[in-house]
Amino acid sequence: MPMKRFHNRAKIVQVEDVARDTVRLCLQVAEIADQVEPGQFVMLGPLAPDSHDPFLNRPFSVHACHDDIIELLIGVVGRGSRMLSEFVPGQDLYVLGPLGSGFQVPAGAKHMVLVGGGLGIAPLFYLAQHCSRLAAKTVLLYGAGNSEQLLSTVTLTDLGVELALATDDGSAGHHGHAGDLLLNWIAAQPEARGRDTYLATCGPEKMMAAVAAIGREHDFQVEVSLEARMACGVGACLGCTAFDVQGKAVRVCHEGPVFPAGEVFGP
Amino acid sequence: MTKVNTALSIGELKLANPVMVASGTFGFGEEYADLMDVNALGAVVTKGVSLEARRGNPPPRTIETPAGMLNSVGLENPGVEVFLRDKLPWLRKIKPAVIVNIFGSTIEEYGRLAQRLDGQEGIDALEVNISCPNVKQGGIAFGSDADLAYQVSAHVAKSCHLPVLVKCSPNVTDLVAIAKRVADAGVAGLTLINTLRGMAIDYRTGRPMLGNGIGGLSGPAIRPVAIRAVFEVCAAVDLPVVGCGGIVQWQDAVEFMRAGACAVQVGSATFRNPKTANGVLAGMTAFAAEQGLHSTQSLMVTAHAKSVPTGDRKEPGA
Repeated sequence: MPMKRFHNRAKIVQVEDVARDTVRLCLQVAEIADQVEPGQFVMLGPLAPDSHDPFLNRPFSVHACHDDIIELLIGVVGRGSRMLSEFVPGQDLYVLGPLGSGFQVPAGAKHMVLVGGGLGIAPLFYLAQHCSRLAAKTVLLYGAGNSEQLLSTVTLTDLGVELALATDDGSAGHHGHAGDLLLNWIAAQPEARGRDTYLATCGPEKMMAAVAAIGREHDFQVEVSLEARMACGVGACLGCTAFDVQGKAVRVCHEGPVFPAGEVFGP
Repeated sequence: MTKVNTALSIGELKLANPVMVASGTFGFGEEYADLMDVNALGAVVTKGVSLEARRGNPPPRTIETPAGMLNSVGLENPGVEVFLRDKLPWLRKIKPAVIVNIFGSTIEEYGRLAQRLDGQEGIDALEVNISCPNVKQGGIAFGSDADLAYQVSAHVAKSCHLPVLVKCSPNVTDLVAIAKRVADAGVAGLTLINTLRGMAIDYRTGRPMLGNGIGGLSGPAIRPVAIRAVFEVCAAVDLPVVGCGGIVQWQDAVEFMRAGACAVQVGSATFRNPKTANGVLAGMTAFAAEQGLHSTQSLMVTAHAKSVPTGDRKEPGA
């Protein structure tokens, strides 16, 4: 059944600092919570409906979803995200969604490996929630710059999936990158080779390229979630067009944000 | 409450109401079909279509600016044949008029596009984007030279039986002079204005924010420029004008009609709120009723009757 998209006012039910310059925003919006799939996103805005500034809405991956609530992870990086971080419970916010094409978890995969870097954890957290309900074994490999930038381990442990952490400065978990965690995991799982293993990654492009290369080497099924600057979020403005390995134009907001890794980084 | 007639004609083009969506901000219509009431629009103006598919510019292609945005999409489109095969069938099913925006890099290309689109069921008019560089004329934009603007407009008008709107660029020294020449080209009307050329640079790195460096500015930031353009052209040229540039609410649309526009296009505000154009029509109609007017067309032109003389178009402070 095709999804019905909405642009509605949603009630903010929680705003919480969850890591340095990172806020979790929980919105009550049943129309979207009922349908949204892991990897899909929403646009927030207009942030100031009575003003023309900021002018554009902001895209955010759905970070978690339960009952009539969706949760978003906001990295406070600029003026719009700063405004969002200053909203308080009880206020309303316009939300447009669900948007884009999410993760296509293959039926029958035996291992689910989710590799996230920095704010790339946002869609993988929801994917982990989803995978933990499936029979498959799920592992979340998560890296950030330092311990202050990591989401709390309590939240992550609550997911009920196997977890490994890394930081660039070694202040928590493995001293290194999320890609190292993937190599470690592969070394410890000699039976996990080939198409039975599903690998999903989101984070800095360099990290995703490295993870995709490792996945390709072991013949895993790999999907990557891309980020792009976008204006409309619905495939109309062609502002977020990216070019795949064959030079074909794809809209990150519509054909993506999740793509087979081969389309982005080559077969 | 007075019953308000919203219908109008632009030459042979009949519209149920004066609110359209602007080219490049609404895809080929289907992208927004479930998020707003497409059938309440006066017209859908399509994404610009060229003879051959175009790849467009490298990313990033959009950046937010004060009260607006820059884009450097670069006219990415699938080409006219794919448009006819894959996009037009859906457009045939909707109520609003369908206006196909076209562009080329030679006058002949514009003519061939007009011929190809002529007589196709479901196409009600063409809108000619004359902001593109003419490759045969050393890259000078059709829209920045009155003779070239006239030639391309006249060539499109005689290459098809459709009503033709010419979408003028504001990036010129004397828009009125260009509009006067285009008015003699046998076209139905003008669309004013296209985006303003603009740029944003990352102060940290010194690099342009857009992949293409320079882009087009849209949004409320450009509305005063658009209102001025409509006002000046309407005072000088006897041709219907469709106003476009920075409309976010119905009051803005009425402002364009006060400047002399017979219809309006909602552009990048649709990105903020997909229902913007619906709200503009509802608000404009209610306002006309409240004023005791029998038609939305009666909202036009009062600024000219009431205005102080501006005909000499002196620079402010000059």
